[in-house]
Amino acid sequence: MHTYQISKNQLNQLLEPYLQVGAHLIAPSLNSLGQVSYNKIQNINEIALNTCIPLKPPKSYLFPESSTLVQFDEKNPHLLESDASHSIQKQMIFGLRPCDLSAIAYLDAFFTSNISDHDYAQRRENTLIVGIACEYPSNACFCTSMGIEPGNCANADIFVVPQGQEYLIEGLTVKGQEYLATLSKDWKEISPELITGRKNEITEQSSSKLIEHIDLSKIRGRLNEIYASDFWNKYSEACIACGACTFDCPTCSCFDVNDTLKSSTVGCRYRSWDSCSFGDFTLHASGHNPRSSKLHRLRQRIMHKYHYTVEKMDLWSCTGCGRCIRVCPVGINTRSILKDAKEALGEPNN
Amino acid sequence: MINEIRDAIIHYLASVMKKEDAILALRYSNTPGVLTPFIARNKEDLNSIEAGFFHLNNLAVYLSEFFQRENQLSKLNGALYIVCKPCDAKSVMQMISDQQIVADKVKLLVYACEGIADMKKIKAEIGLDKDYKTIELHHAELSLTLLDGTPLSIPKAKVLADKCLECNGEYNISLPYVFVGDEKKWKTNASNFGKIEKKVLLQDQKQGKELFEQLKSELSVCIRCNACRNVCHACFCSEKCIFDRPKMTVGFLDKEIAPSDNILYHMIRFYHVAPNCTACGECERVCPQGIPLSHLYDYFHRLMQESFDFSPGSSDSIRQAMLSYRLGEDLA
Amino acid sequence: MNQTTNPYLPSYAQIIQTKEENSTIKSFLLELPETIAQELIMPGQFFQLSIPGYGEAPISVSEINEKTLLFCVANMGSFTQKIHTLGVGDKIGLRGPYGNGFPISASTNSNLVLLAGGIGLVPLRSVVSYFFHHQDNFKNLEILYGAKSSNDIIYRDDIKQWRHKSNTIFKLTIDKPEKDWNGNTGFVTQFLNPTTSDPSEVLFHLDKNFSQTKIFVVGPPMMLNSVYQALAAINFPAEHVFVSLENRMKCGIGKCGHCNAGSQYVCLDGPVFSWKTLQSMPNEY
Repeated sequence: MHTYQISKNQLNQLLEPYLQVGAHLIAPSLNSLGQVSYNKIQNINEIALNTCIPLKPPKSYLFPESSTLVQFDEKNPHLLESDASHSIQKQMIFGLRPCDLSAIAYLDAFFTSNISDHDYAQRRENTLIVGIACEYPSNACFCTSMGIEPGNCANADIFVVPQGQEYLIEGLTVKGQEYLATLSKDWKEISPELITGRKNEITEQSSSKLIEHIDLSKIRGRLNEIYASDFWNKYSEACIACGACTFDCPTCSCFDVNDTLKSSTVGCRYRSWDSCSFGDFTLHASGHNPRSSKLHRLRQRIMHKYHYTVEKMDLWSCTGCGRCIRVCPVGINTRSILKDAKEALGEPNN
Repeated sequence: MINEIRDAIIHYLASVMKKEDAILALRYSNTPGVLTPFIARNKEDLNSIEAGFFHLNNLAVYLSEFFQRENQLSKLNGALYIVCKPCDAKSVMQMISDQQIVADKVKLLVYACEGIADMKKIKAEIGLDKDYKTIELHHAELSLTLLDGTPLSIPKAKVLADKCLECNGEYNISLPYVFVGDEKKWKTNASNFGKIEKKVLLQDQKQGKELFEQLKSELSVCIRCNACRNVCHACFCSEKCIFDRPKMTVGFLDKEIAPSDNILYHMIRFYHVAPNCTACGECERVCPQGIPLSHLYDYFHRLMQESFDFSPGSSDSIRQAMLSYRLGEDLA
Repeated sequence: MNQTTNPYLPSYAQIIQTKEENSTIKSFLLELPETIAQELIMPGQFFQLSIPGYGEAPISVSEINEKTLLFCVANMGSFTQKIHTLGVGDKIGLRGPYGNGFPISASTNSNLVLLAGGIGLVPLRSVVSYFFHHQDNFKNLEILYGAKSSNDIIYRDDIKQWRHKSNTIFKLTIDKPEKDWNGNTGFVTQFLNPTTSDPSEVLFHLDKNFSQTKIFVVGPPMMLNSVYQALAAINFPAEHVFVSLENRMKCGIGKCGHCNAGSQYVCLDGPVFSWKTLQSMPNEY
């Protein structure tokens, strides 16, 4: 594995091939409201790296807000393969921090397990993931509580570590190394210890800026004990079941499936983002609704992220990115919920 | 932190609160500068109440929940107090007019608001690469401590919400209410608040295709999360909302994120809420995509005002503008 | 590049026969499409039936034959209403088989007791059918069926046949007494009560420590609670009771998140769960 030290110009060389026709470059840039988000880039100058975490998660580039699953038309009255799957272009998602990289690792494991989701698998196959160490945490971030280091993450094809005016860069997968090999002719090679050292430095600096670190090790696998606890109500009474937390969450992947007719002979079956916070998420055709109350649904969201995926896949499905805290219109703070959960389980919060 | 108005609110409630009463108010969340709604059920809970500059939420929306969906109020033996800014009180009035809540169980507490924050403006002042761990208002200055420990000061005037800058201090509450603070002084001062002309996004002259194109562009980033609908006190078709049923099951819309569906969603909402919307701005505040919804809806408010001489929230006994007709009313 | 197959793409099956079982349930006998292997389908599994432009619904298979499948669809909503309009010669979309099915192969040499509440008889019928095709592998069969009213009783012709089998006990009840009804009335759980049923007729009472009896239960959530109570009262082992759950489903393959209860996805880890497993799952179905 090669490790390089490169200049800003050389970093641009990394990205330019994906600005060509037939490819897409996705990276953080400013939207029309002056906020940072992951967008399709037309010009390298648009990229904004020195900011707090982008508002929106990168999942829409692997799992779009809505996408066609199968379609039909008058020549073929039965449902067919969607053409969308054939037109997926190759893309690079650049500038993902360790929290978002871990989120993609979770989505990879989830979507391809058991019966693999073809749409996600195809998009993922066509995607090169380039991560970056995080130097600008926000006040909502709590990645370290979820076992993630701001300065380092193995779940990327290529990982970039800023150092002053330059970048240290390493290829972590065969795909990443092969790509770097096509570009790195005049790049300066350095020893791996140097990148490790800088990653540790960034982890320390960024971790020290986080508002709090919550030790969850003693409650992992134990949340079922507080399923029937009282404390959930404190949060669910404020919740308005808007689903914004799930839409901005980089690991949330629930979707609805519906058919639509564009004319009497043309239509498709599509999926669209759905949220377990919505009142009708578990509504049966009979009218029976297992999660009819907001308490049920708020508890489900927390139990799913911090317990059920641990039970099923041995993975937290939260990466501490803090977006849920930032976007919640009624101030529900997930860190608060976790601390209350700890207390309810008899674990002290330091 | 010194917050006289909050202390006055707590003092008043402590003196009137009975054992079976409940108070709908806000308390600190764990997030700096963010308050969260809660229900105070005893005198100890009162001490958590916060109000003032960070009171962004319009608590009126929770009232319909009490009366309809979860039916908690039917179990409440006492009264339900609601801590309101004057603009929130307009919403409560409108909900009574809409027969969504029963007036005699609700006790309005309105306080002398001095304007609320626009968190987006605060973030813009700080810069995209920084964030704060503490934030407090001291009279006309906002004091922050950044994550790395650096202190920062921002003048309050720079980060006041647009709706406060546009506030004309008018409200007309015809049910019994308590005003905490000097009401007369507040009304005079508030009309001085209107330092800026209300920002107009959809020009009145815009019609037809031009109007449609602008709406399409503004709404193109909508992800149909329904946050605007859920936070809205005027959207009270709970459990039967047409947006919860995709086209193939009796609804009008698909759940696809498509420009045509996005426009249809918001047009249906605009028209349905226009007679009940008190321009509280919550829809705009909660939109995770930052769509200026309240400013878009203003176009329809102006139409309502012009056509029916009707402004929602102005009285509790007024008829629904779109649903009633008075003899002699000129429809032209 | 290895293209993952599209799991949302249905196969198509022709409808060979239909039958109105009662006022809300219609049966459809389908030709098994070539793309679906009969050997892979087990009782208790389900398929996503679909009509392009109208949607999909998960329907348990009621009978698995060499070249045909039987589905019984209840008219519950707009989509199932549309299915009811289909007739012989029409094609219907099929995705599956999905789910885990009843633990039939682990139940060899056991008595099978099938407890059906109303429409619950629909998936259990596939167990009955399997039993008669593999009778030597099992001991006896007992079918306990509770219908809401006499008009709701389904599979009347098959019931006549079941009553005549020497290795089968069949008991039927309707919720409330009716004019011209001489059979049992009350809930189906009455057959589990040792004081009200005739011990010689109720199979599992003969199996002293219940070690050779498996119970498969399918019915509405309300019924399940009474079943648990009745079984607990006679100390029936929880690991020998299997319940088929229903939950709102969309994708059928454990991805959309609608059907999960705790960490278990009803479409993937279920729909059949042992009562023991259910005790550690949140009651969200």
